[in-house]
Amino acid sequence: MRMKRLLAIGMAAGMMISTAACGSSAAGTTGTAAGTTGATESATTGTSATTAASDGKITHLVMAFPTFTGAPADTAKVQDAMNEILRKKIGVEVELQISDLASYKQNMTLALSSGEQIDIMNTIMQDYATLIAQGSLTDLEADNLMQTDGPGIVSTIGQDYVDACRVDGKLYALPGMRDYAQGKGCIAVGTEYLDAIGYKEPEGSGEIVKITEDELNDILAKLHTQFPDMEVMRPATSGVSQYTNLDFLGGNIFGVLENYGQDLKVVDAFQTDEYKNFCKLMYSWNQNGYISKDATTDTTSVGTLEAAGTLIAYQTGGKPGSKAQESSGGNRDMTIFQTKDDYMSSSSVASFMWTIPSTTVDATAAMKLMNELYTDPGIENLLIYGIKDTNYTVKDGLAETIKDESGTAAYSTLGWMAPNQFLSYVGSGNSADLWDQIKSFNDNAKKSSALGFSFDGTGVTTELAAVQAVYDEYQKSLEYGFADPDTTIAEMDKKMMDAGLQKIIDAKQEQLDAWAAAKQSN
Amino acid sequence: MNTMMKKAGAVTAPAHKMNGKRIRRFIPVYLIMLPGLIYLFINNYMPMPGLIVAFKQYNIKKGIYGSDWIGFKNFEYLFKTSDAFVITRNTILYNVAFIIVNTFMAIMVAIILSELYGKAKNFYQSAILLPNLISTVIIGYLVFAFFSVENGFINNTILPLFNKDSVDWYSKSQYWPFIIIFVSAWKSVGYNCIIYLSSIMGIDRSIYESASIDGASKMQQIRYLTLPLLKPTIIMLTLMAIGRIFYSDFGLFYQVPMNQGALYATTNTIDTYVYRGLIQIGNISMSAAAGVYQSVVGFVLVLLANLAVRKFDKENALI
Repeated sequence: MRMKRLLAIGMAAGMMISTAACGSSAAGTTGTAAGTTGATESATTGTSATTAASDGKITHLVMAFPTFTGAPADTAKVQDAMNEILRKKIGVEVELQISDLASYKQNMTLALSSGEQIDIMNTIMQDYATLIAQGSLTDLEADNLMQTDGPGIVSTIGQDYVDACRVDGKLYALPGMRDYAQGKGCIAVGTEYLDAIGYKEPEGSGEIVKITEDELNDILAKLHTQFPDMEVMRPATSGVSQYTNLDFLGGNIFGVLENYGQDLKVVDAFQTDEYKNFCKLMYSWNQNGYISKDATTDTTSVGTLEAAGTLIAYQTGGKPGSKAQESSGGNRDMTIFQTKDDYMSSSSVASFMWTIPSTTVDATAAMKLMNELYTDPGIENLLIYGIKDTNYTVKDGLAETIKDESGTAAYSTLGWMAPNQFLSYVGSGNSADLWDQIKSFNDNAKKSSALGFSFDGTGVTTELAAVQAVYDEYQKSLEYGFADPDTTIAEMDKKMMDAGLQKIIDAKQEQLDAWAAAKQSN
Repeated sequence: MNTMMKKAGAVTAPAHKMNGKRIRRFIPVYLIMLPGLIYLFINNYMPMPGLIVAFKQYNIKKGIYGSDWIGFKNFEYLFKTSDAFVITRNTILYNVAFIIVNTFMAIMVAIILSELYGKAKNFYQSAILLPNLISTVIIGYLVFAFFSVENGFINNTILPLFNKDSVDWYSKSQYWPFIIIFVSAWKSVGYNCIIYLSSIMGIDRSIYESASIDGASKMQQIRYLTLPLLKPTIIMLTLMAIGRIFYSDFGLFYQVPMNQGALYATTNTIDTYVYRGLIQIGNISMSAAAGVYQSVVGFVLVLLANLAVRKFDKENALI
């Protein structure tokens, strides 16, 4: 009897403890995300996670950014290597807080709203205007912060591109060095399929082959005849952005500039000829059988499909290095065709920028670190590639990441997001002068007249939600070519107008005019 | 007899005798309940004041209590669009269909299961429960395996049997009410029938014996004995379901139709509409407004339904 009582009390106590533990994990998706962050954080910080400077000399800073899969295995080692340099140089040690892309937004929202220390943060997956409106970012020029502690930054990036990130004249973020322009109207095609139809690239084409739209249609028709059982083309939701000359003002399709943003008149995208022609093109491709009937429901990435050998071609954004990038993703040699011009849109520079949030413990130290990230090649290589000969090897001046049997790298982050990837090694598979190619690509591309404009949508949130709902309903049917554009575009446009599209367009025009006037007077 | 009752414990003593001795006997029971109650309080009751975020323009820096009041502006997007009618209609009609179909199926399965004995019963009970444990993402792909336009089972095997052409399942919204109701029933019948099954098991077997002696057939026994005795359970579960009539199973309406815009007319519910609209914009106040709207309406409906039940059958009303 006594044993039974003890057993009963012991079990009751055990249940109490286990339900208390359950309580935290059952708190819904945000709770689970926070739990994952906690796990990620404890994995990345091999050293202690103390926030304030202990001996008064070394400031501990937190740098937050994402990769596709989260914190790599060797993050702690790379962190230590970076800190060895940083401690001596600027008296700072950094903690790399790396999340996976999917939970990055939630992690940052939670961190900023709870006042958690973040000293350097990338704005990817977040809305720049919202961050500023909520007071989450530090003004980088307040008290001459950038001039004093970040002297190398403006000369590295270029004043024009720095100015493209201003909002109301104030600078809250810095763009990373990367390709700001994009080759519009690009299609990536597996080279072996082109060989099978006897296509030869014209002499002196270079990395990207420039052809006309008629020639492209011709090639696709031949591919379809040669390979009737394969999917010739897989569209994507980024199709309109990558394949037309419309400038997505403010980062969305509701109110655009036509003709490579050459004049500052905001129009309804769905009434433009450009959009109609795009949908007509997709419709003709679909009617000809180039597109799989499951294209709308299948969420597999085009890289996976290409590598699996079920897909021949897909739309992409062109730039120097895209041939190597697409070939590596598709696991076969790819040829990139371009049918339109290179273009730098209004929102392309002010995307995934580097900021100093207002929850920083020491803005001066953070700015010094920012300066190092933009000017020190050693730090940059560590940040992107990791430790030499442990995480990557250098052959002929190109870096090759070391991967294990399953194809996972112990350390690798996204070069295009880094503050200054031009300081690091060029990745293998590209030509050694890739960075120079990108710089001239940026300089020679058509630039939008609205470059540097950012849209504050807080006055039209209801309308944005409503038109987004209408767009979600029709987007894939129209842009993947399943619905007849002649009737469906008008139908969708009418619904959008009823939902308040004109109000959004008017708001954008008003803000654009004010921005242009302020720019003139400066 | 008296000593036996005393040994059996104080459960048989009248309830108003809650003296110290009785409370002490129940302490282990209260202890077991305590963690659950604490969790319920922290998770469900403590956040309730946060409802006011639905009436404010939420600003991260100012926090919930410091942000500015904007009244009912956050609720506008739910009613302004032409979609408002569609999503409300879909949510309510689907839930009514679910209540009717799922209750009917659950009772039927429970009655059948109650007739089984031993290993067969355990096996079938577990097998029927299995669909409820599968994530809706996987269910979405199971449905896709059937309804995929190019490679699906239905288009490639079943329709050719009847000499019919392939159907573009994921572009035609008229078929989806049936598909979704079927999937919902398949998924939840195992879970729902457990409660009915335990009620049926609690019915005294001797009633059935005397009924069959009186010459009642199986169907008559079910109609005149089982169903009336199940009435309290049915009413209670239906009332609770009515309280959730403005909520929908997000996974079912988002994942199973593979988030296809062409199907919005018959698969868009309040939850999916709010999710789709706000995942881009990330406005916390607007999402909270949707939640407040759903819960307030559900609350009012439960009270009304309970009132209606009380008029007809006072004993079985919840409140």
